[in-house]
Amino acid sequence: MGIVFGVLATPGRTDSLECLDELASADATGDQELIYLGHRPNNPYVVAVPGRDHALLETLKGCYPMAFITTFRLGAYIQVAAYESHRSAKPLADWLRSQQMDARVIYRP
Amino acid sequence: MTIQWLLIAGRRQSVVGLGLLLGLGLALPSIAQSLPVRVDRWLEVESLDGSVQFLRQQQVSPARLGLRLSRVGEGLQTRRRSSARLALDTQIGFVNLAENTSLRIEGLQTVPSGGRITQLYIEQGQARLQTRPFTDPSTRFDLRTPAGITSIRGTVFGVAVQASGQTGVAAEVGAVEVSAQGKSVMVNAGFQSLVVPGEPPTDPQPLTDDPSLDLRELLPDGDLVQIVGRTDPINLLLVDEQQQPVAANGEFSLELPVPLERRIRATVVTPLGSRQTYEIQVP
Repeated sequence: MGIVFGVLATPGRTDSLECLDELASADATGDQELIYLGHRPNNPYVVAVPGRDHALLETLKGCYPMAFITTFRLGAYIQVAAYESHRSAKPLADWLRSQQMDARVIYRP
Repeated sequence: MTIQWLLIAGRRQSVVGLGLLLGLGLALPSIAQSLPVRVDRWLEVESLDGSVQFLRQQQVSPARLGLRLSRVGEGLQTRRRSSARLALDTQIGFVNLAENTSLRIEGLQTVPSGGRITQLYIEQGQARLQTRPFTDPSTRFDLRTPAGITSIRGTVFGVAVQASGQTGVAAEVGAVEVSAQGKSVMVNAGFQSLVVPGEPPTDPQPLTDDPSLDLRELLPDGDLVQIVGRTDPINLLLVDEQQQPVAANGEFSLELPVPLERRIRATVVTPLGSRQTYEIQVP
């Protein structure tokens, strides 16, 4: 599959990282008539980066256009992508952590 | 605050025959040739879909195919999920009205030279207009919105009018001159511009005709949810068919009650009528 467009940069970093399409989101965008945004009840395993960092959101949107900021019990976070299973979500969270982002998988049905 | 738009095809035209608009504070030259004469003229309902009302003075009744609007003050109002198409008498022009759009006649006249002056008013909503090139130089087709006046001469273009008067214009065919606050910009086919009330028009930008919605924040708080996002500021944003404000930089911030099913329908409409519907699921 190879490399796709977009770069990622973490706060405080001066370098940037290419994002990989094998870590693409499972967030389907719907058909042409209706595009789904926001929470995905069928994809309850969410890759989240805590905080309300708009600069980081902008960077993440370069690779994950459906990313957005929302809130849960512990406060605000960036929902990077949502998956059907923890197993599917974990590689993206691991990769974001390897790029010094505080990413984790949360369950939000 | 006076904003005046001139949309023309090919070359600059003088503004004539807008006496009805003097009350708006627009200084217009008096030209004898533009004095109107009485000739039967009309707008005919060529097609309609959904709930479309015929407006006549203070009365409202269902519109029907073939209905002719001919008097000042008569108009059409499209309701939710409804639309209508009007043909201008000799079919020199067509007006396509999207949902939740109101149109009224402000003037249908003919000048001694044979030129036809058509003056319409759209308070809010979205309309796409198409006119043939006019052979008579005194023929005019003027569309007024709360932000100003659009004068058309043989072109295809669209407008999207917010409740605030902020108006996006997109030129598909022909050339468009937009004037406001002492500044004029020429918008050629394939370009777009934005007029914010009280400000000059923006410099022309390449036409995007892009109904994208970029969701940035979705913040539920009890029975309410705040939705923050962006779209092209020349577009209209509708939530459950109701128009929502979009700032001049394209950003919007809405606070809405959370529906029982926690799903909110939003639609983005471009001035040319392209639309995309979104379903936003509230966590």
